[in-house]
Amino acid sequence: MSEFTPINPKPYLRELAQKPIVVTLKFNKTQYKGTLVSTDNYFNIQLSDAEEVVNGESKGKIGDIFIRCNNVLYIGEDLEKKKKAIVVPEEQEKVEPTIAQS
Amino acid sequence: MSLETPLDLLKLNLDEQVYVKLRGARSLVGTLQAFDSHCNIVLSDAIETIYELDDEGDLQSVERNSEMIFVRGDTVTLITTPDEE
Amino acid sequence: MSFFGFDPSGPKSKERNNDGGNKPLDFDDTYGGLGDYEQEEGDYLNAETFGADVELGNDFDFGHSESNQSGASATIQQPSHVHRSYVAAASQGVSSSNPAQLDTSIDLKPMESLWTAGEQEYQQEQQPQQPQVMSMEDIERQQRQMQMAAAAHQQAPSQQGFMQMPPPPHNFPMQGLPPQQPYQQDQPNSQFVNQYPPHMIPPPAMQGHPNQFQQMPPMFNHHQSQIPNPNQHYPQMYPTPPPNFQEHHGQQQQPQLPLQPPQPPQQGNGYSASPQTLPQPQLAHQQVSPPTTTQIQTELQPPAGVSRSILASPQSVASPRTESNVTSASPQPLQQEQQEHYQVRSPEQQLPVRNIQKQMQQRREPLTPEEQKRLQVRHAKVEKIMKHSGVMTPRDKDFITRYQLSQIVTDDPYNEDFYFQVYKIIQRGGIVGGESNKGSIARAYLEHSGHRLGGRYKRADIALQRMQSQVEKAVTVAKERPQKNKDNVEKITGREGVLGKISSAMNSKAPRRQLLIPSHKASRISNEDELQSLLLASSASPSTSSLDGTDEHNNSHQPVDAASLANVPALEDVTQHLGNVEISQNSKSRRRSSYAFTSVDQNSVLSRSGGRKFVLSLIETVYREVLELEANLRSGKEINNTLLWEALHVDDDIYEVCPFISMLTFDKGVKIMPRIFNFLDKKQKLKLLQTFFSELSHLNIIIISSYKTNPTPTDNQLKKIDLFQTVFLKIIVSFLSNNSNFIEIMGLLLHLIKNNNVSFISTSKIGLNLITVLISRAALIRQDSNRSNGLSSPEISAWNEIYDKLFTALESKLASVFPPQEYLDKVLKVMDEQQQQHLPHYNSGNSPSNVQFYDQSYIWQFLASLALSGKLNHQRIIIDEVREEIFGTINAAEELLNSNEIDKANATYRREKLYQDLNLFLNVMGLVSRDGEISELK
Repeated sequence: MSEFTPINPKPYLRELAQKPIVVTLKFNKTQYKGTLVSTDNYFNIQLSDAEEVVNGESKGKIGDIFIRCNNVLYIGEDLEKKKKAIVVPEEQEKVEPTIAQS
Repeated sequence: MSLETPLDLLKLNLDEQVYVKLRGARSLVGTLQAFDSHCNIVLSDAIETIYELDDEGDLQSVERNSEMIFVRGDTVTLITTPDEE
Repeated sequence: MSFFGFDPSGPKSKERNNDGGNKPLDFDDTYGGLGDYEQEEGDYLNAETFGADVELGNDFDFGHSESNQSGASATIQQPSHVHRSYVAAASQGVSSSNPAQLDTSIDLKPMESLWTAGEQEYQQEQQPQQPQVMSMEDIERQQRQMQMAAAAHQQAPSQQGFMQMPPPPHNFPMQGLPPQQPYQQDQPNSQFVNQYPPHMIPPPAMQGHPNQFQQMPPMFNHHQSQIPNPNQHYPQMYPTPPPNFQEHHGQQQQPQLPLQPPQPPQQGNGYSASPQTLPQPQLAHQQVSPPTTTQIQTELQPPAGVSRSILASPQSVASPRTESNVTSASPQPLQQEQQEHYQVRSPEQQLPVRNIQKQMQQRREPLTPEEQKRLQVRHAKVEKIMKHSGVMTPRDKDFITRYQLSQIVTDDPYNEDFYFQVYKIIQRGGIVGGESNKGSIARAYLEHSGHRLGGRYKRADIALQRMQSQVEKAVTVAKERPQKNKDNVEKITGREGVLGKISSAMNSKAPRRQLLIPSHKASRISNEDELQSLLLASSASPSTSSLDGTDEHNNSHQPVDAASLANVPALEDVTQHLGNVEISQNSKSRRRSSYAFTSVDQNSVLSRSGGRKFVLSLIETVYREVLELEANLRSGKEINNTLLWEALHVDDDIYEVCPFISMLTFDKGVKIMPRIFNFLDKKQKLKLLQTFFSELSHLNIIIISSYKTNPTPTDNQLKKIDLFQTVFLKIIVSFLSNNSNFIEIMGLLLHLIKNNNVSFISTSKIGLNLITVLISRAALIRQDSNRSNGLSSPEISAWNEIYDKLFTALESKLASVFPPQEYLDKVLKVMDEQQQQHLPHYNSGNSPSNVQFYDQSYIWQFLASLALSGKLNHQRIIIDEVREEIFGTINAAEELLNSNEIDKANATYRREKLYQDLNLFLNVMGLVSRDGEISELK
């Protein structure tokens, strides 16, 4: 990446579609991990297989969710999950639960 | 489905029960009657739950039923379906 | 006239033979000899035998060449004999008959005699060489092979040397097979020789006879002269080749005969195939038998060498006899000779029938060989079937079968023993509540005693019913006594005295409830098990049959499925109209994997039809389409419902559960239905309903509304049930009453029965209502039609079949259409809470139970319509099974009267309601209940 190539938010989100992402909210230290289904011009977000994480603790699966745009602090690819997809399951456990954020 | 938008989730769940998380430690469960692009929504047979910390710091909740309720979109943080909780 | 008449070869045939027989005959050459006979009188059968315009020479040539081929494997001498014309043979022959004699003989003697003579010689020659070469097995095998080859008219390869000749020889008569004719005509002897040799073992009895034949006048001489072969072991044989066979068959093949289907043909031909007759010297017959017979025989005999040989021989044997023995009137020319033979012959009994048959056979001459063959085959079959027919009546057989089956099946004599069962029940008495067991016991007993194993259902029903009433009677008597004791105890303790007398129905009801719902968790499990087994039992899928404990169910149900539905022609007729109501592979697998019953969770169903989201999006699409159509309707545009229909996914079988069914999981899916129906044509509606009824088991609302799968309904679920009832059921009712005819209703019912576990569905309110709607509508149509004569008999019988099937599915489980009291209580509680929520101020003073009650009228409606469509025995079974509920209802009504409840008006109303509902059912049976008693309806 020596050369700078600008990435605009919209194309970036579009690329994340169908991929595991983490949505961090502005408050309550709440995160939602799930597969990005769709976004719109407001950056409203729809996730499937979503999981609520508060303070790093999972609060359980909540399925399909709609997150209103104004609450979103930031959005990033779920690197942990991405890793899981590649790495052997045992190693997953050892992986430090660092939350990947872009 | 490629042109799907997040609000489609609401559309699909029209006339179904939805769970709405609101700012201020409130949540609503009710039948989704209507919504718009601002996420203003109308729920019927809604149960509102308000969480509060009491003096000892324990979490308390109060419930309130409404036959029909309008929710202004700017308080909404999250909407999902209650079935898969 | 026969055969001789046209022996064309005349003197020249000899030459030909010497040449090796390969040289084709010139017609003129052969004709020279033939001319002599041409003018003969009495050759009235000539044309018949050989056809009107036959080029004899050519034919012969053909045969000739064939014979040569065959000759390769035969003895050296054979070829020469074979190829000779009989004329030639005659000149050289044993007897010194001159041509003139031949002429006379021609008239008189049957062809057979000719051939037999040839055979005689041949056989004699052969005997030393091949003394009984063939074992029985060999012969059998040969025959079988020949039979197989028969169709092709090919030579039987298996036959040893002799057999090279094509089997068809008998066909000489023109009609037969053209190619064969020449040959036969040319060398009658050879044919026989070839064919018969394998069978040639001479019956000892026969050997004595040769003399007779030789003595035989012209025929004989003629034959002998024709046949140069010295080999005749069987003097007897000469008459006709068939006789030879007879001998063989008679002696050697006797055992085989039974195996051979050809027997019947013999009958048909009038020949008795009985082995007894065979041993006799057929020679006589042949001589005796007029040319016509031979012709006939040949004609009749199948072209196949084997079958012919088998058949023919008996024929020839039998026929001559019959003629000789039975009727002197037989049309045969040479009766004198016959008589001679008779003397020689054993005085076997010839049935007059045979004679007649033979004559009939003669009449049948015009039949082509193929026809004959077919006829023979048919006769063979008939004979086989008829052999022992009439010994037992169908009833006898049925009885024996059942008896045997019961014997076989019984590996637990105690449990199969009816009396032991009753004894057991009596012993257990009040503990188990024998009455509730009676049905199952009776059924178990009957199941083992055969009716499930292919027995007839209707009969079984009656038997079951009888059995049940017996058990019941026994149980009641047994109960009578302990009951008194119990009453005493109760009086002493004073328990429940306030509520008045405790009826036996109440007593027996309580334990049953315990059985069904011991505890919440346990009940769930047991229900699951029960449902599972029910599922399996009603599923025709063979793959489930291996599961332990369910084999019996499957075995018992499958035949019923197949027999009662598939095999009934009338039903087939109707079901054809119904569009394939067969259980699709799909629905089988659906049912196999259907665990929907065990879970109220709608997602389990949804996930099998594409997922919740998918279904929801379908609903959205449907809404969109409907809105569009409605807009078009308003604006007067053309309406095309194609997109809507596609959006409904009614015939989408990609998913395990039809998406359409899943759409009905959602309230909005149900709510849109009336609007959808506005835009569907009748065919689409019907298809939609067919799918609906086929997959009823997957319908979320059924699962929700069944007390088995959802023993604790929630407020929302009750609302859903109500919604479905008021919306979708209404659609169905209006469709049924406005648009559908009888067949369509039957079709829907059939879809329901075949693809679903009816007894499960009947435990749900919605399911029961759906069934009720169908059968009551059908009953209504039938009543209307009775007046206007509108239903065809296939329709009626189809209906009966379907009803029987429905009834069978419900039988013994009828009582379970009533939800247990626990369920009712829960429902009431939920309803109360609901009411309290919404109308808190109304409820404050009253105890909730006074206001709410569970309306069971839908159950009585169902029973009423079920009884209405049933016959008397059905009605009896219904009453038997729901007896407790009937009395329970009456008791409940009377209790209301006695109760000190505050709301008197309400109590009175409920009492009226209970009686009203109950009478709905009882009235069908001509009964009415009033003030705690049941009386006949006036």
